[in-house]
Amino acid sequence: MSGILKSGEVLRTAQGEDVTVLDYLGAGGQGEVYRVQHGGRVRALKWYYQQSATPMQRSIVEDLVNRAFDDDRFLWPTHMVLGSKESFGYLMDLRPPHFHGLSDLFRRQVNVTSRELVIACVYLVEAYRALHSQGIAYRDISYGNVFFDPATGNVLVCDNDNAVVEGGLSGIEGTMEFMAPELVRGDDGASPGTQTDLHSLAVLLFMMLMNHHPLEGALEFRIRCLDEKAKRQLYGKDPVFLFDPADDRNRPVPGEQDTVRATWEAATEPLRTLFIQTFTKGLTRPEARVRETQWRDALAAAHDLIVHCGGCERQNVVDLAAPGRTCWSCAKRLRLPPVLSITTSGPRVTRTVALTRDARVCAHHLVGEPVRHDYEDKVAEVVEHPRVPGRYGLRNLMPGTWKIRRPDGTSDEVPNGRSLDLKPGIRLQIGSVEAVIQPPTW
Amino acid sequence: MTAELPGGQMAHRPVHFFWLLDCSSSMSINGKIGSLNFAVREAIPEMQRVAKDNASAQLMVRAIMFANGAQWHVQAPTPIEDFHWTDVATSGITDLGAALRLVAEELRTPPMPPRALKPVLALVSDGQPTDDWRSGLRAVDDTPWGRRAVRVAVAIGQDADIAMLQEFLDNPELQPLQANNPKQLADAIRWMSTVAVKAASMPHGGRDTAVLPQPPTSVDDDADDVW
Amino acid sequence: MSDSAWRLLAASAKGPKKKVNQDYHDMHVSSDGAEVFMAVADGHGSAAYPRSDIGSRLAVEAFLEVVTEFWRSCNRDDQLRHVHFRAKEDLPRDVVHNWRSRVRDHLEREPFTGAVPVGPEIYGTTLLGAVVSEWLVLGWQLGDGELCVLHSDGEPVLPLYDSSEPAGDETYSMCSPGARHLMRLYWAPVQAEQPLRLLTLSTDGLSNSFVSMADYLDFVRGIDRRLSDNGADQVAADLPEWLKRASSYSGDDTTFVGAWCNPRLQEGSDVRNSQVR
Repeated sequence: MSGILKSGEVLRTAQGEDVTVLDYLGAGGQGEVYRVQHGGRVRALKWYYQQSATPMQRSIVEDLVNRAFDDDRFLWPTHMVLGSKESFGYLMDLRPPHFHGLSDLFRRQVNVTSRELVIACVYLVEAYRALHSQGIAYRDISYGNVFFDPATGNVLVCDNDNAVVEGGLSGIEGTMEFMAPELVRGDDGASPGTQTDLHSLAVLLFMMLMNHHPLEGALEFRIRCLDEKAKRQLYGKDPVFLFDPADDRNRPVPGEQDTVRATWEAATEPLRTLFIQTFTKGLTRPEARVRETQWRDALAAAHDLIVHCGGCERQNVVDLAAPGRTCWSCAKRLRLPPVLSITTSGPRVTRTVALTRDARVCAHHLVGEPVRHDYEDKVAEVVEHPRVPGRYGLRNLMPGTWKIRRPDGTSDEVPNGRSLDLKPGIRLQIGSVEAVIQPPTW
Repeated sequence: MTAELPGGQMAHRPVHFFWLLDCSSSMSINGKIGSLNFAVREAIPEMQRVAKDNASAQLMVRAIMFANGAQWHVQAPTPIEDFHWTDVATSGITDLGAALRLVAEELRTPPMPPRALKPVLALVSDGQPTDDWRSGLRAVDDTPWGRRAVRVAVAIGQDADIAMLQEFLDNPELQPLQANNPKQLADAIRWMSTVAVKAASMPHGGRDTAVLPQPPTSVDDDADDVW
Repeated sequence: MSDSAWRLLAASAKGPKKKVNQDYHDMHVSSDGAEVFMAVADGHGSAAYPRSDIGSRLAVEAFLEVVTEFWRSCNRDDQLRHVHFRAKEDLPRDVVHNWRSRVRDHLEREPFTGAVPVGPEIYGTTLLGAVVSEWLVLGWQLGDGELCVLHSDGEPVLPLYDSSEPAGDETYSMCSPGARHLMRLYWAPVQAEQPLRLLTLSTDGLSNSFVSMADYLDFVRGIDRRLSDNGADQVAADLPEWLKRASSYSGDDTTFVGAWCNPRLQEGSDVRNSQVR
């Protein structure tokens, strides 16, 4: 494939280091991406098209490089690379091949379980929170620039070269589907920033979890030609949430949009409440939009309540407050396993983990306000007894020993590598945290 | 006069057809193996006719027999117009898994060309597999062409493992054909070899796998209906 | 149109033994001669898609309507990334939406009674479309078929070729769930040193008639050479017979469209500077 740069071509970073072009990887909106050699490492080079290599773009990239935002969830620009005349680009890490674009998810080309999907959502909101907490707005949040690993839920945010400091450059950005309504309408004083990012993030989360756009129901279905005017109406002037409790004009069309009805039914009440808030009040009042920490807490809680259907083995998220749920896939009534109730100190937070056969307790469960969730940092996991099939226990994966107290008052210890039967009433001391195994609530 | 067509070599795309034939010793009872040899011979002219009607596809036939292990009966992909049947003989047990693993090797790319039509796997069996046939089926499913193959199956007599054949077909809408006498077997073999070839050689099946029309229900006018 | 640098080629051949040609194509040059809009679609044809000949026509019509509107809203001065966003995310969704509306309208006008369940599926088709301009070249592909580009170096390339696409005549379709996400984008802002010379779209009836993709690329290379040597009129006259020949190998409907930039008319090109002046 022909590209702007040729294999073997040598360019220089702003610091004067050699960058050798290896091969062409692909084309993006503003430039091409190459595999390059830089200081003994193989990295990625984004090289701008002539049309995009503007002084303004250059100053944005220089600013991003200078920020040295070192976060493994972002492919951040690390070095400016300069060519002849006005041409330039920047270096970043390569995207590992096991990361897939979100569009692979929508076109059903990757298999992902509910668990990994919810984990990806948790990681995603934490990633944007990390960015926003530095006062940087991403401005283009959409499924085109988020990648994820279906095996772990890890996310990688790409195309960071348009992120700007809050209050920096303005102008209408992005695609209307993901744009905050005030930007779609072009309201006076509205400009892309962290507050409009929150709308885009909510749309993205809805699409990931519900497999549908939150504003595309009957009103969209009726439009024959989705021209600019129709889209302004749909996403800006008169946006109506599919499940707005006070306005049913835009409900999913039966027979045409049934998937989103089913996925909405399968979601937990706290998540539905947040979506309703952000896509009703939050459409007109940016300050009413759901914030990343709210999403994080509701998503993490949903993750901890994933159970397997006894009929078809599919993962379901259960709602402790809504007994009698049926499996989204086979409609069989779901049964709850025992749960582990964990209470942290300072701040005091109680979390409930369904002790299903692949449940895990992680380091972040033991902290009231975790900086980051990491579902691979396990402190305990549910395992099957090596000799008694069907008997499950909670295995201690921490270096330290758990102290346990049974309902009859006797106490014991569970050292690293040993497991504890899932008997309701047993209290555990895990590090500095109190936990208790409780019977199913329904 | 039109100038000569630009470009490289043109060719019809191949449809690779694999017979997977049960040659275990139970097939020798009641002359079943003889009926099978007869049925395949009878099917060949029909297959040649179908191939001629679908001139854009090139039908290439091979055959595997399985008993104690599996071996090629016809190893070279043979154009149907040059295909001659040599009778198969029986011996031993029913190592279907070995046959599936043998065919799986051929369904990789290469030796399969990247630009082929769907291959056809035609399985005939009268009994229960004696080896780990599921791992063989997995080996087939693990190849890109095996996954897409048009699959047809005939159960000979009442002892055939219908559940296994159903799993091989991997299509809830498709049943293995049941053949309880020589006439039914001949009908089934003719049907499976022609309809499957038609389904495989049709350009454009869309997203879905090819839909096979319903198999024939032959009238039982033969007195000897139990083998 | 005579003052346009672009010359158009288009032809289609029905597959042998097929009742109707389920391919459809259309193309035109903008009124100022600056751009070419083109599309081909290949109706699935098998029994499960009894109206795919209409589906392919509706897909081409939907694409050309949407892309014309899209192009009207694009400016050379727009930031490329905005144009890219819309090309990548809005256009596929709008085309699928437009096609589904057309399908519903058609079903209402002419209700279907037949052996298969009624829905957009019976209109199943692929789609390939492109816009060629002097500053931006865009292509979209849903399902099989080939989009081929050839620049001043004379080497044909298949930028949307995807070896992970379903093989064995299965294809993605306008009626697939999540169809908009199955559409691939070819995005090529024109760089001064690499002007586009030829862009072609063809249905898989053409590529399937060749032994390999390399043989198919030879075909495009040959077309480019004949265009330079013999002129577009001669190639246009020969094309229908070539496609008929190809369809006798693939057994399938075979459609080919192309936009060729006549180097003698291409403004600012090296050829003009060095040879005409």
